[in-house]
Amino acid sequence: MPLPTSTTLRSWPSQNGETRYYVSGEVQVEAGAGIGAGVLLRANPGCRIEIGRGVCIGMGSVLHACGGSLVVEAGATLGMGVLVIGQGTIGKNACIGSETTLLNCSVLSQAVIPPRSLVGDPTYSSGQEAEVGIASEAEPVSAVAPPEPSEETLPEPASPPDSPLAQVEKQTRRWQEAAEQTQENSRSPKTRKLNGIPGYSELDRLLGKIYPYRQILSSGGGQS
Amino acid sequence: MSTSLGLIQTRSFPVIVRIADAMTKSAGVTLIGFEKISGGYCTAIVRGGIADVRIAIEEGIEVARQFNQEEISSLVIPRPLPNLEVVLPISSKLSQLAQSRGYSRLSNLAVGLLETRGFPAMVGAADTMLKTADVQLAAYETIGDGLCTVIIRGTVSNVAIAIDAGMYEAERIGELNAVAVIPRPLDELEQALPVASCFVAQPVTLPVAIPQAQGEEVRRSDTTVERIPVYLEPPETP
Repeated sequence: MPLPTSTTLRSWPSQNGETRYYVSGEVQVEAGAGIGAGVLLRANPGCRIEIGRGVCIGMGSVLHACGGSLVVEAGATLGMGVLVIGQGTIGKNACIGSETTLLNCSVLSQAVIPPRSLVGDPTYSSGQEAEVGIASEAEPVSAVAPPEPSEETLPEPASPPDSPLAQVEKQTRRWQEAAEQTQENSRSPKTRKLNGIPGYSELDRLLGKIYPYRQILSSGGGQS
Repeated sequence: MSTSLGLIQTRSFPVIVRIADAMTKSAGVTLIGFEKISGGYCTAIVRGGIADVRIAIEEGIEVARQFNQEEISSLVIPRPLPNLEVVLPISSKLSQLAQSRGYSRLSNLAVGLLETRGFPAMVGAADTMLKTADVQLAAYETIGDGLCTVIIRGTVSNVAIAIDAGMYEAERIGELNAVAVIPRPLDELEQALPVASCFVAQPVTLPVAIPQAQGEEVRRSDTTVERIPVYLEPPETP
C-alpha cells in the first residue's frame, strides 16, 4: 500500500487491531509483516521504506530512511528498540538483536547481529548522509558477515533451490544491486567533485534562498 | 595626495572578483583594477586611507579562505612613493581609462563567473547557461595556466540558475575550477570587469547633412520681395 509522501505522522493498526505503529513518508508494508506497538517508520522526502512479507519488527523500534531506500527483506527479524538510520538493505531472514543501532549499512541475508551492538559507519553525520551512505554501501560491513558466507548465494531455505520463486527472487536481487551500483556511479563522483569547487557552497546557499524547495524537488526527481 | 595601497593575489579570476566585491563593500576603498600576470595569478588593487585598506585586505583574506584558496599573498603599503605610482599600474589612472571607454548596456545586473581549465568546457558551459536562463554573455577572460572565465550578466535568480546548470556542463566536458555570483556589484567593480565591445554603447558620429534654410531678402527694382532658399552644408565631420 504505497502512501503519498507526507511529513505528518499517521498511525496504523497492526495485525491484531490493538497495537499501533506510526508511518511518515513513502512506506510500503507488505501483508504478513508483524510490526510491534510504537514502531516509527519514517521515510524522508525522496526516500522509501519497504517492509517485506513475514518481517517481524519489535516494539519501540525506529526505522528512518534518509539518503536512499531502506529495504527490510522478507523474513527478517528486528528485536525490540532497534534503531535503523540511513539507507541500506536488511537481508532475508536476518536477525537483528534488540537495542541495536544500524547506521547507513546493509545486512546480509541470514546474518545474526548480537543485541546492543552498533553497526555501520562510525563517522556518520547528519550533514553528509548521502556520501557516507554511498561509501559504506559499496562494501557491506564485514562484522555482520554470516558464519557461512556461501549461504548468501543460497536461496531461502523454505523454498527448494530450483523453485521458480527462488529464481525470481534471485534475479530481482541481482537487478536491484545493478541498479544501485549504476546510481552510485552516476551520482557520487559528481557531487563529491562539485562540493570542492571554490564558490560552490556560496552558490548553493544563494540558490537555497532563491528556491527554497530546490533540494527536495531535485532529490525527488532523481529518485523517481 | 598620497593614499595607501592594498594588493591581494589568488589563483582564480572568479575568486579575485568575489574578493574585490567583498573589499569594496567592506571599507571605503577604491578598486583600481585587476592585474593578470600569466600562470593563473590575479591581483586585485585597491587604494584608500590606511585604515580602510587594512580592513579591506583583512576581509579579502577572509573571503579567500572561504573559497579554499591556499596560495594567497597580500600586501599593504601605507604610503607608496610617487615614482612607484608612475611606473606601476597602481594609480587611479587605470580606472579613469576604464571609465572613459563608454557606457555598458549591462549595468545594474548581477554578475556570474564560471572558470574552467580549458577552452571547450568554457564554451560548452556558456552555451548551456545562455540556453538555461535569461542571461547575457558579457565577456570572457583568460588568466593563463589554462584557466578561462566566462562572465554572464542578468537578474540574480537567472544568473544563479544559469551558473548551476553551466557548472554541471563544464564538469561533464572538462574541468571546472571555480564559480562566483555577485548579486549586486558596485560601479567600480563593474568598470573593472571586462565587457565585450558589442555591449559598449559608443557615442555615434555619422556624417549627416542637415539642410539649413536661410532666408535672404533680395530687393528688386519692382519692389516685390522674394525669398530665395540657400542651403548651407555643415562642416565635414572628422
